[in-house]
Amino acid sequence: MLPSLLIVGTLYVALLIGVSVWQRRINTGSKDYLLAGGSLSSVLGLFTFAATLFSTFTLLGMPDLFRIHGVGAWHFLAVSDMGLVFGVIWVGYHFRKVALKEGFWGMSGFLSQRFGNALAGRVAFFGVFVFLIPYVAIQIKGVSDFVALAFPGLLPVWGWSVGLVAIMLLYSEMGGLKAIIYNDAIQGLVLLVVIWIVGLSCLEAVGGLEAGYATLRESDPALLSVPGPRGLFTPQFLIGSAVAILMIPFTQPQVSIRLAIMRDDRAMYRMAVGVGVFAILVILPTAFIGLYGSVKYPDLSAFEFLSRALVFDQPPTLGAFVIIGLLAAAISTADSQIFALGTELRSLVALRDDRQLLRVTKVGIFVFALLALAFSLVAGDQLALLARTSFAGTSLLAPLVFIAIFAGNRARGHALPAATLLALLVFIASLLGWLADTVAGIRLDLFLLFALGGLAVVLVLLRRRSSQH
Amino acid sequence: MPDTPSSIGWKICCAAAVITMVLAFTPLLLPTGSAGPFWLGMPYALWSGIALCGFMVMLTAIATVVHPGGGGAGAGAHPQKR
Repeated sequence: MLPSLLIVGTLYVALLIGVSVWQRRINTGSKDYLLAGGSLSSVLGLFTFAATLFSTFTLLGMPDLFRIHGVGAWHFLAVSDMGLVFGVIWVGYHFRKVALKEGFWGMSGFLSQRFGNALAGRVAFFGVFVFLIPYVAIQIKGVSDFVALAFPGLLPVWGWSVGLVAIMLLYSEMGGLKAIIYNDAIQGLVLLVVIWIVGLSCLEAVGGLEAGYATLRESDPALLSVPGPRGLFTPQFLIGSAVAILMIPFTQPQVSIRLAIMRDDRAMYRMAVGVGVFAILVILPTAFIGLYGSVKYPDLSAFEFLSRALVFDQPPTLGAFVIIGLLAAAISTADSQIFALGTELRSLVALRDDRQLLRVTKVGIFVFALLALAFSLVAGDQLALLARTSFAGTSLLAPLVFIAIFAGNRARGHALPAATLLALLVFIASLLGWLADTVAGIRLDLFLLFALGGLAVVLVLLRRRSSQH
Repeated sequence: MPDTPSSIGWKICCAAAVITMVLAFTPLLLPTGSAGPFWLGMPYALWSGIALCGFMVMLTAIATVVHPGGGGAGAGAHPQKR
């Protein structure tokens, strides 16, 4: 398989770099480099949004969730994504209306403007920094661990990680957001094609849907319903995950910037419908791969199962494409996240010179990539659950963002940004084991989110009353 | 100002989306510990979830048509144009 991988891999990297070189010639300033010119079509928007949203955790984490925890995994991600898609056209319209009027360069800068103080932007930046760096890291780690296992002795895990980050940095720094978007389109297509070929191959290997699920009814019937054999998919876990996922377009900057740079509202609406279809198409085959794992490899570790199901049980050339598909999934999400962190940093910096701002952004992107690389070397391997923690962490910014979008002048003040900072710190403390992770039986992330939401409503009502008197 | 047919349609879509998403996590669509009824071999939680996703995509497509925002506001509004 190694010769196939080298040929396909070389072609793939050449394509990514080629796109960046092409875009480097077109980019003329910050707006081109950071916002891709601000006029994204619905088709490009669909692929870049989808490729950014669906990452290594979809390709590696979801089959393993289906294998270990059963069919509730569909509700965990696919159903939640449908809410996300509807939210894009519902809230996205208002977000664009306000953000474009203000001059959008990043969510942190937008919040600083709307709240009339730097604290709001800094809290948002702190939140996305703390919860996105580990998310980027698990993308890098997931793929590096997987490839190192698939090709033992070729490179150590850290070697694959360094290579991955180097490729990502090279084309991101060279071509800016437009290069990332074109590369996302390529990577989104690769991901979709690869996962369907593997999914169908796995389905055939278990004798089809009926035969596969009939086997599970005999061997482990708990996989066919919620909460699953290990009790993971409780209503509270699923609802908490859905709420966190619903917020992603407005709380994770790599996604919200894609809403802001759509050509017009109609392009955003069409893009949202396309993402809904893409979500079903990309998650369905992970259920087939999970079914294959439940039937054939119920007791293996996650990476052993994945390396067999995705690579060794497939024909060699397809195995090479799977590796490239995995790299595509990891790179397309990680590059957007790192780039978005750079853009967020830029939106907070009070410099007037465009070239200086661009330099700050590029240095920021480089530093964030190195931090993610360092974190990837110590991160755990629970891809899907670590991703969920990232979603839950950034979702705590949602009340801040929604008040900025909907409350007009009543958004101003320090109280909500300060409370959001406190909530982030409490959530981090619970993740570190310093505080309990539930309050009166409610998951802490959900409790904090509702508490912040309640506080936001009270603050707006108080401000409205004081302005009437 | 009276609601236009378009804005009524939009409100119906929003209400339907909220109700569907709430129902998605109730025992109606996600019964605890119950695998049947099966369809094409798939357990109920899976096939009803897939059907629900198909419905939500269709609902979103309809909502884009009746969205009161149309395509005018924000059209061509590059972040730094205004």
